This record gives sequence, C-alpha cells and structure tokens, in this order.
Amino acid sequence: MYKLIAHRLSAKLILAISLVWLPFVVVAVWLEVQQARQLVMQEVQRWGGSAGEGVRVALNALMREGRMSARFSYFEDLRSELSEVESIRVIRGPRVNEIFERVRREFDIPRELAYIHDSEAELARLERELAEVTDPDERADMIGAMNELNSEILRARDLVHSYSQPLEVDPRERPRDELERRVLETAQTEFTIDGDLMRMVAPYRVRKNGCSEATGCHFDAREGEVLGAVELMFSIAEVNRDIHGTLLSQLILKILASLASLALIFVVFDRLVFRNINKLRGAMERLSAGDLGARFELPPRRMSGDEIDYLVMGFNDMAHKLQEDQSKLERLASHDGLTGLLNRTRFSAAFNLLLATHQPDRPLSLLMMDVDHFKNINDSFGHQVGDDALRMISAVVRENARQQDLVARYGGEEIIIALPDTGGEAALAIAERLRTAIATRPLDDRRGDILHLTVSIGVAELPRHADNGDDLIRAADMALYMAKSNGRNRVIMASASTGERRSAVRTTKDM
Amino acid sequence: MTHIVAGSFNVSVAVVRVLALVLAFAGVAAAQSEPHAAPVSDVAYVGHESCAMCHKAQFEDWRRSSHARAFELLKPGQRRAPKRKADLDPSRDYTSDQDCLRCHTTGYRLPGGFVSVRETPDRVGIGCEMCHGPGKRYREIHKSRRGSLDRAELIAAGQRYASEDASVCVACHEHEDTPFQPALDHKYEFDLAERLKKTRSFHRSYE
Repeated sequence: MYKLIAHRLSAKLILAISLVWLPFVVVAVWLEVQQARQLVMQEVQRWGGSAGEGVRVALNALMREGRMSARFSYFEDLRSELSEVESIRVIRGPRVNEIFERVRREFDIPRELAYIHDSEAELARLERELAEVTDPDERADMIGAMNELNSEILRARDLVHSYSQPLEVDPRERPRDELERRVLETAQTEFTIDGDLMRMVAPYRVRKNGCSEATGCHFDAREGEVLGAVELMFSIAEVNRDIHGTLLSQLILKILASLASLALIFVVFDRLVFRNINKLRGAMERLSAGDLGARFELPPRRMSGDEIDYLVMGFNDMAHKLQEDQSKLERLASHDGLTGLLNRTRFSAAFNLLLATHQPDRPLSLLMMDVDHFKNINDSFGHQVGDDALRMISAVVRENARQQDLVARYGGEEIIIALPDTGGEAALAIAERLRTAIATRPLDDRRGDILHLTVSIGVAELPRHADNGDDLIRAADMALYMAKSNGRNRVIMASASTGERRSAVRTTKDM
Repeated sequence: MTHIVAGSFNVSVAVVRVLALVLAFAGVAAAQSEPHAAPVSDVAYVGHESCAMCHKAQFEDWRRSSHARAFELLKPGQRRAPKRKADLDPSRDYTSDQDCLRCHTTGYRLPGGFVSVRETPDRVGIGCEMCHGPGKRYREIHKSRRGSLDRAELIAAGQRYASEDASVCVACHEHEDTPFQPALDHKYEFDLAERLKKTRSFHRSYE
C-alpha cells in the first residue's frame, strides 16, 4: 500500500486531492447542519409560541373565574398530559398583585359575617322546627335544606378567613431570573436552549380593556399591560438526537461520496494517463536496453488524438527510425557498398564461423573469381562501367548462390564464394555455370554498345586441397592464378597439394 | 438543504401534539364559563357569567339564593312534601319537563337561553336575566359606559328594574299553569314588598 502510494503518481495526486477536499466536505456538512438546526429551532419556537398562547388563554379563563388557587393543580394536570413539556409555571407580574390585593380589600367582610350570623340563626330555627315535624317527606326536605345551609356557612367562613389576611404569593410564581423580569417588562416571548431543554417564557398581557369572549375581562388593567408570564420547559432531546444523527449520517454519506468520486477519478486517471505512461516507460526501458523492436501498442479505441496518443506515436516513430538506422549501419559495416556483397572483414568472420561448425566428413568448397582484363574496362570505358561490371557480376553470382553460400567481394575485382556441403566436382560445375552466365550476360558500355565480360575462377575443396581455411583460400587463389595464366575465361580446380600445384592443374578448357 | 428539515425532523409533529393538547385544555377551561350557544340576535340571553365578571358581590348573593337553586328542585327526591301536596310525583325527574323549565331556567326556548345543563351551565336556574331581562343589548352599554349609566337608555335596551316591578315576578310566581297555586298553600301568594323584607332570595342592592 505504501509503495502503491509512494511510487505511483496517480496515487500521490489522489492523496493530495483528498487532503484538500475532505476538510471542505466536513465544513460543508457542518454548515449545513447548523443551518438545519437554526431552521428547526425557528420552527420549534414558532410552535412553542403558539403553545404558550394556548396556555395563556387557559390561564385567562381560570383567572376570570377567580380560581387563582386552582392554577397550580390545573397546570400540573396539564403537564402530566404533555410528555414533551417538562414543566409549566405561571409567573406573576407586580400589577397582578395590585389587582388581587384591591379585590381582597374590596371584599365586604362585615356583610359576610352578617350572612353567617343570619344563616346560623336560620339553621337553629330549622332545627327546632324539625323536632315537631313528623311527615317523613317534610323532614327529608328540611334536612336537605339544613345541609345546604351548613355548607354555605362553612364556605363563607373560609372566604372571610382567606380575605382577612394579606394576599399570599406562591414563591413559585415570583420571577426567578433576569430573563423572566425582561419578559414582564418588554412583553416579548423569550427562548433559551440548554442542552436538551428549551425554555420558553411567554408574556401574559391584556389584549384590550373590558371584556371579550377570548380573553375575559380586564377592567383594572390597561390594554397591552403585562400581568404575568407563562414559563414552559420543552424537551428537545428528540430534536437534538435527530440533528446529531443527521450530522453523522450526512458526514458519513458525504465522505463516502467523496471517496467514491476520488476512486472514480483515480480509475479514470489511471486508465487514461498513468497506465499508458507506465507502459511507455516499460517500452523505453526495453529500447534503452537494446531491444529496438520495443513498441507501445495502444488499443484502437484509445486513438483519440490526445497528448498520450501523440506521445506514443512519437515514441513509436522514434523507435522505428532508430531500428532502421541501426540496421543500415549494420549493413554498412558488413557489406560492400558497391556490390551489396559481404565485405572481406565480414566474410572472414562468417567463414571462420562456418569452418568452426563444419563437420569434417562433409566437403566444403571455395571459389575465387576475378574479372578478366578489368583494368582495361576501367581504362577504356571509365570507372562507371567498371562499377556496372562489378554490379552485374555480383548480381549473377547472387542469383546463382544458395541460401547457405557466403558470397563476398574479396578484393578490387575479386569475388570469393564459400560453398558448404559441396564437393570439388560440384563446385567446379557451379563455377562453370557462373562463368558461362557472366560471359553471356550483356553489359551496357554507356556508349551505345554491348560488352561481354569473362571471369576466371579458381576452385579448391576442403579437405582435399587444404586442411584449414587460410590454406583453402590460398589454394583457390593459386587455382585462379593458374586460370589466369592459362588464358583466362576458364575454371581451374586446385591441385592435390600446394606443392604439386603446377603439375596438377586442370582446366575446364582442357577437359 | 431543506431536505434535512423535511426528511429527518419530526419535531413539528411533537410540538403540534403539545399545542393541540394545550389548546384542548384551554378550550375546556373557556367552555366552562363562556358558552357560545347563543344565537346571534339583538334580544338574547348571555348567561350569568357575563354579569358576574363585574357584579361579583351580587352574584355571590344570588348564588346562595333559592332562585339559583330553582333547577335543583326539579330533580327527583327534592322538596317531596310540596310536590306531593301539589299532586306531583316526588320521585319523578322534572328536569326535562318543558312546562317546568320555562320558569326554572333562564331564557328557556328563547334566543341565547337555556338549552341543557352541559351546553349552557350559566343559564341553569333563575339567573340574572330572568328578572333583569335578556342581557345582550344592555350589557354592551354596561361595558362601554361604566360609572355613568342612563336609566332610560338601559330600559330602552331591555333592562328591567325588577325590584320595582312585581309584574316581572308574577309572570312565574302566579303563572296560571303552576301547580303551586295560592289555593294549595297561602305561602304561594305573591307580595313583592313582603318578600323583599323577609326572604334571602335577592342580592344586595346598590343603595
């Protein structure tokens, strides 16, 4: 893995992109979640405000009934019904206390005491009368009336008791902190969020002076005046869970998507660029190692004409030219430029190789050919015709040579031909055929006439005439000399040994 | 961006449920004291709650009076002796007897008047408006001219000063169909002046 990253350009590129990209992804997701959170909070606050309004209306209805003492039990009942609402609390503004205190002071205690007094007298009278009544229906009616009267007396005593003392404010109803005091002052709903708990403090204000169906009566408070507030605690644990869950899943999703796109980029880059560059590199390495046949093969569909294609085509052209030049150089080094035959150096190397691999029981013959009166041709017709003559003779020799034969330009107008697996008589026949073919092949003298050339050929066979390559060449050379001496335009086989050369000379003309 | 909000947060559902519950509670609390069954009409009953908001002491007096308990008398077992004398069945339930309800509720079969105990709890019994007249029109005057009321204007709006006008009382007390005729018992004879002196059926006055 490390090697893959460290040594591949594509991997390095992808790593660099990832390092730049991923922080952006994380930041983008974070921003998205913040925005979502804000939207959700706005929604929660909107609904929270409505819920507060509902509580406010309910509170109003209770206040109108004068059931202030019932409020806490009412809201506790309400709270138990609302799982999302952690607590509901009424906050009393200072104005409310003024109003309630006035109501308390206005309560007519002496009159209430008089009522109690009268009722007790009435109760006593009924009690006395009851003793004399015998009719059961009448007795039941009277007992019912006495019970009612009794409960009224008890209720009146309660009222007198509670209204004769200063108004008691439940400590829970006092504003607790700066936020609640601010709501009472500004009449603006406030929200705070602390972890999983959202706190809403909504003002309870007088909508209009007088009475209305929805808000009841406020004769003592002015329109818009804040009487109190309602505090609601909502659990937003679910919201937070949702937000955090979304944060996590979004993050994972985005990162996975990013990694997937990076992988895709990696694959595409690798396919299109890096893989081809690597192949090209391999081909170059083969080329520099000496394999001039190294080429880069592009699949046909890749040939779209982009930079890689031009690079590959350039490389292939270069390799092709290099290979061509190399083979030209090689040819120049081993062949004679005029005749296209092997040069003497190349012949020596090839002949030595032939001798080294030559099997002793197999014959090997050598022909040494020389153009007759070549100097005269040069002198009379010019060197161009001389060159033409050499080319013509070389062509004839090549036409008649076998695949395994070595044909070389040995000297100025000398041609040497090594014939493997060929005995002296067969070689003699071949030489004769060459001589005849050359003699009958016309040569343009570049002046409008036709020339006919002749050659002299010496033939020697291994191991009949020599026991090594040098001696064989010498033997063939000697035979050629004999052919020249005996009048040219003939083929002569070497004698059995160099010592008997002269006596053993046989010419084809003699035969 | 919005898909997050739409897709993953069901907070609004939870909050709507809270809201619905809160409003339901608020509605119950309001309905207890603010019936809205009254048909829209100029001459209509509004129920004693509307009066009690301001006339707290008078309301408290009335609450303790036999007028306030008039509907209770229609229930079986109540006032057995007088019912038997008037040839009524003491064990029978008269709370849905149309002849009785006319004088034992407020505005029975009239606009804004008594319909049922559940629907119109503040038209049960002989309420303020049985003596002072249907309140819809004159209540508006009370509300808007607090402290400077004009008697003629109020009378024109349908308000009656019942303590000065026995005809209001005898409409029920001496109704020709009532089973409790003076011939049955002299206590059924109606003399407003006498009654004002000795019974506790009335609320304190403004004098």
